Amino acid sequence: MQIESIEKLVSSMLDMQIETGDKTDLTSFTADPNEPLSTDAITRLIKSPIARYQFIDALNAEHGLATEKLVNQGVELQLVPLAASESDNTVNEFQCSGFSVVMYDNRDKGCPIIILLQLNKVVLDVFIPLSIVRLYDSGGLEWLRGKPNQNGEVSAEWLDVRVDLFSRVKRYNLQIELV
Amino acid sequence: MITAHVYFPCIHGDHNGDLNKLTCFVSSELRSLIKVASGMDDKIAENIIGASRYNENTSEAVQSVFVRVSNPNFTGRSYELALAIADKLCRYGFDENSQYFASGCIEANGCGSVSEVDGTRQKIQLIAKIAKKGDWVFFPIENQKKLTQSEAEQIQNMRATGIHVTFLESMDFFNQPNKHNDSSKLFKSPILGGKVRFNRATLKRISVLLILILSVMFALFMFDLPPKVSSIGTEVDQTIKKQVLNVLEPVLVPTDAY
Repeated sequence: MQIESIEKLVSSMLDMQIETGDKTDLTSFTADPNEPLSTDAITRLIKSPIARYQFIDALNAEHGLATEKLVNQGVELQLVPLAASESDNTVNEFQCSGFSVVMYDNRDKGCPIIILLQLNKVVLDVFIPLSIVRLYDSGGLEWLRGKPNQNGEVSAEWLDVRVDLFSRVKRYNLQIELV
Repeated sequence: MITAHVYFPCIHGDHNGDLNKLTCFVSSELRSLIKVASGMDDKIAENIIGASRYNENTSEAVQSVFVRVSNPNFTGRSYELALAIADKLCRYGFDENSQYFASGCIEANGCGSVSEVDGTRQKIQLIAKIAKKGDWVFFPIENQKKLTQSEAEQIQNMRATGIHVTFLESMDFFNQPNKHNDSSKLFKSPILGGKVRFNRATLKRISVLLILILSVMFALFMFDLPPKVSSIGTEVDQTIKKQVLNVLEPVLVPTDAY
């Protein structure tokens, strides 16, 4: 695609945006917050950049509350490097009270490393349906992100052969975050 | 960890296309029955594998499996048979010297019925180029009925070189290794069917047997009766009729009537 085409597409998307004002909130669209929004109100909300920012702020605030609740309960949301206790040639499993990470190494069979993140029930209980979870190490590398299924599981393939996850897990903390 | 690969052909338009590798391995750590690392939605894979495991009565039937597809950019449903077979291979073991190829759809009826796919000509050509002696190729039985002469010849050639080409009606084929010799060669441990199920041929045999037994009983009954009763319905002996009524009356007439 040519740069002019991309510019045209982005411009037309930006042109669609309608600003509804600084005080955009649900109460300005309907008298009763419990009533469903009209199609017109939904369209205005979607097209409003401020409304989108407000949504992100609200979601982040919810995530902050959920994380605080977990920390107060003593739930661990990070794995220290020494936690790499269970491991064999093909499966590496690391656990803490909040989640566990399993790495399946089938590289000799022509498959990349598959990472499985399992959130424990205590984390799933505070999970907001709109949220996704990301797993990253303290070296700043994101291992995976996604929406957990009903069993609290997210999986991903690791396709970058230049990065050795097995050595990183011995050097860095592994952490989860709701986003 | 047993890792099973099954290749399914992806045809692009009228071209030969290429083979896509679908991999399954058992995971004792998984909470879900199926988890897909790449290539399809978890729920879709769960429906397919749920249907294909129908009637399995082994401890392996509840094992959790990880699934991945080497190239997730494909469309269509013909991968479904490959997924179902890879799931069975990784749970029951297989000959690692053989390669496995499959193309077919698994119906959502929950019983593992295998339904037809398009592009058979290109798919057979593609597999025939790569498959070697001892490999396994699976297609739906509906496609066998629609093979052209050249396709049928190609299948014959593959079989002549020692490639096992099998046409499936249902995934239940794998649950009866004693009946189907081919499927017993496929897995290291046999898959046992969960319950006795009657197919159409068995039901036909049972019906014929029942008719024979009833005919014999009727003939015996006729021989025991006096000769004049042989024309039942026209000259029934009144005494026999009374005897029959005496026997049947307490059964047929409710006691409340008295």
